[in-house]
Amino acid sequence: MKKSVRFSSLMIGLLSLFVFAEGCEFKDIDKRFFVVGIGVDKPENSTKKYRITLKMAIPSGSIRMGSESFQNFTQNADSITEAVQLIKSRLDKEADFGHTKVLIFGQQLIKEDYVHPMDWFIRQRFIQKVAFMAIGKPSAHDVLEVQPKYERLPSNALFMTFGQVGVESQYIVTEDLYDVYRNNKDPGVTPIMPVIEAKQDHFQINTIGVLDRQKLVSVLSPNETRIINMLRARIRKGDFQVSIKGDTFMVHTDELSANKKAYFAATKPYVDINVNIQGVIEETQQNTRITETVLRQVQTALEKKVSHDVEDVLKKLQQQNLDPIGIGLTYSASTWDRKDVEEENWKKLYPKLDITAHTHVRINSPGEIQ
Amino acid sequence: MADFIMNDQLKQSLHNLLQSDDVEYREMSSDNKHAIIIYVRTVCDSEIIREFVVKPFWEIESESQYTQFIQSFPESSELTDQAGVVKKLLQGYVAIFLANQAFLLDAKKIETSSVETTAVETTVNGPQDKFNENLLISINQLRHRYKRESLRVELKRIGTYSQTNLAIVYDEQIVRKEVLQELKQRLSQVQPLEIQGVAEIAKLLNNQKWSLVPTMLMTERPDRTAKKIAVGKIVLLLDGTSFVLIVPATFSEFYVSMDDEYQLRTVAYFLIVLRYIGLAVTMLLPPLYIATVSYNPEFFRVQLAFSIAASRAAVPYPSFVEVTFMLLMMEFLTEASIRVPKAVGPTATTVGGLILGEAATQAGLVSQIMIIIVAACAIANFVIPVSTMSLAARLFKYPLILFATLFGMLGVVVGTAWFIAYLCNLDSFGTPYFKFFRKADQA
Repeated sequence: MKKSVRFSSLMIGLLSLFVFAEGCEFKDIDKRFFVVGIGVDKPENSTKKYRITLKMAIPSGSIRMGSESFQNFTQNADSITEAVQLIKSRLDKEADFGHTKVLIFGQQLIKEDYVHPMDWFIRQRFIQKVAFMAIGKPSAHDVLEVQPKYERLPSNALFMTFGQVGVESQYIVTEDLYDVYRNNKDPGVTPIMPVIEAKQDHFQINTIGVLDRQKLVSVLSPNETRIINMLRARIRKGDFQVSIKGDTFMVHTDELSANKKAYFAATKPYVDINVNIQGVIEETQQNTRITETVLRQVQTALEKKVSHDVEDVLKKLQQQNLDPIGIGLTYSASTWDRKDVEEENWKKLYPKLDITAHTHVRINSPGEIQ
Repeated sequence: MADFIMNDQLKQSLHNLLQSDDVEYREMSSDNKHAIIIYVRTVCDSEIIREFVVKPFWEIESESQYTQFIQSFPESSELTDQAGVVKKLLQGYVAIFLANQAFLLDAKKIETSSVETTAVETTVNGPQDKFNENLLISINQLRHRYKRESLRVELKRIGTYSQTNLAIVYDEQIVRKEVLQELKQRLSQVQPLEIQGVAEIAKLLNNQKWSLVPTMLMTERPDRTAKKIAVGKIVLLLDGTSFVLIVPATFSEFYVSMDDEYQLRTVAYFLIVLRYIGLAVTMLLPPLYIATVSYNPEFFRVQLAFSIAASRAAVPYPSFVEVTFMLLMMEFLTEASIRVPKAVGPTATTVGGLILGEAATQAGLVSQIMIIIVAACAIANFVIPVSTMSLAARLFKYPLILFATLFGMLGVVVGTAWFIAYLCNLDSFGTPYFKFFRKADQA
């Protein structure tokens, strides 16, 4: 009896302490405005630093395709905090960032700077660190304005695309907030972000922007994008085109893997990129009958083509001193130097590094019945 | 004539007894013999009295022959202890006073329902009989299922007024002596005026005044009881109730249905897991709703968050008012459908279920999600097979709702931890209450 009384009073005492530890305040879900996307642009004719767009979802009872409703609030300000506070003054419910999963930087802004706005995103405890990062083209505001007919909830199309719950495409790269932030800080790798192009009633996402420590450096072509995506081993499905003897074959891959092996200690340091592809022939232009010889020829031609593409894009990035696939990480993992020394060495080493690619293709099926 | 047998003390107590309407006092006189019979009509079988006491009195000529006739019954005995007469009369004996001798004849009548099928703990494939309200029949049922010579039945009387028969049944060879001793000691300490149901004993034996969970297993199933005796547990059977009490009990035993014993092992495990999920659902769903809706909406998927937000848009009150209102309605419904007279029967549930659920959302008092939560909560509650635990589980959610309202998700987590700590702190007659994965033969 006494024991249990003591025990209960201890527990009640401990519990009452949590009044002070309380993290969030009591506010019902219907008293909140859900921000489903934040866009950061460079204002066009204003001296302010940023033009912030908050996309607020308006929940509706019946959820049907194309029946979504939302409202965008835009504010020019010198800091995001200020902009958010000013936007809040126009609302009747509390803005809730718990479901903010898309953070978009306008093309114009990111060409100058992305680190400062990202600082706000990282510091806000209520913004998920797994929010998707992207570059908006022509501007972040335009991307947030797009209202696809097939969308049921505001921004859900982007959530599905980047969340890889829906579409699986070799051109779509998903980059989370923590990813970009970490890659920005890590000397061994440079961040990338997918570019979302706002169209009339849909999005086009097939390129990536390669960033350095401060800003956007270049935007890759769709083909380069999928090579990078492949090397980062984020996708398994893809299609490759290869031409031999006047016919063009499309090869669909079921299995795709890439790894890199670095030889930094060699007299002439080099990196070997090994790509393994397994797939089937999906389409031919001239309806060539695929014999074993043809199959082998296709394999060899595809191996050559992929290796060439890989070397091309990596060398191009190397010249700009960019390293989105993180060869530098392999370097720091295989050396014992002090951090700053290591960083210096890598800076000197990377431009001289020889990059070669080896591809192994196995076509499992000609894709036809004979 | 018979006066010399009755002393003053007996007369006085008989006089007291005769105040009651169902006590019969008859004097019979024939040419050469005289007799007084006293009995309690409601506990005696008047058939026996008529056949074996009254009728022979007129048929047999002499008193000595009649005396011999009475003596020849094995149930009869000579009245020697005058102080104990009243007690015997209340137990169903008939007292026969003759000229210079007095006898007690056992004429007990037992009003019993015959062995019925289980009503509370039903199974699909198992035995369907339940214990009887008559203690002797119950013990008989138990002996029928447990034929070991070491089975001990100790009879006791409990209740100063009710003098109810209580049987302590256990297997002497495997029972844990210290548990038995503790039980007997606790039994001797309590002196209730009257006892009607076995659950009252459970309450009396419990050391805690305010306990949240039952620490003694109450069951109506002879098969479950026999299985428990076989692992060294002690059974308390009370006369007049078809439920028995099994001690000691652990938390996990309340989540086992007898069906689990009669099904495939895989099916049984699935069912057991299902019941614990049911417990979690009935306990945690309403508090989690409050915590997520009012503190952490990011916990939901965005689709769900929006649809909850939309369906709550019409609800004017904060989430905890909504939850409390709806749970209260649900408790009313549950309680009403248990207590409602059988004739009114389905009306209560139909009216309640249809009108409350549909109309409450349309009136904008509660959101549609809330209806689902309350329904899931109510159904999951009845998955728990032992009724005492099932009823107790109805209560668990309310403290958690309070914590969720005050502290959000943190409150739910800490509240649950507190509940588990409370369970760990309990013991049932020295056996740790919240100990899972014991060996089967351990009591």
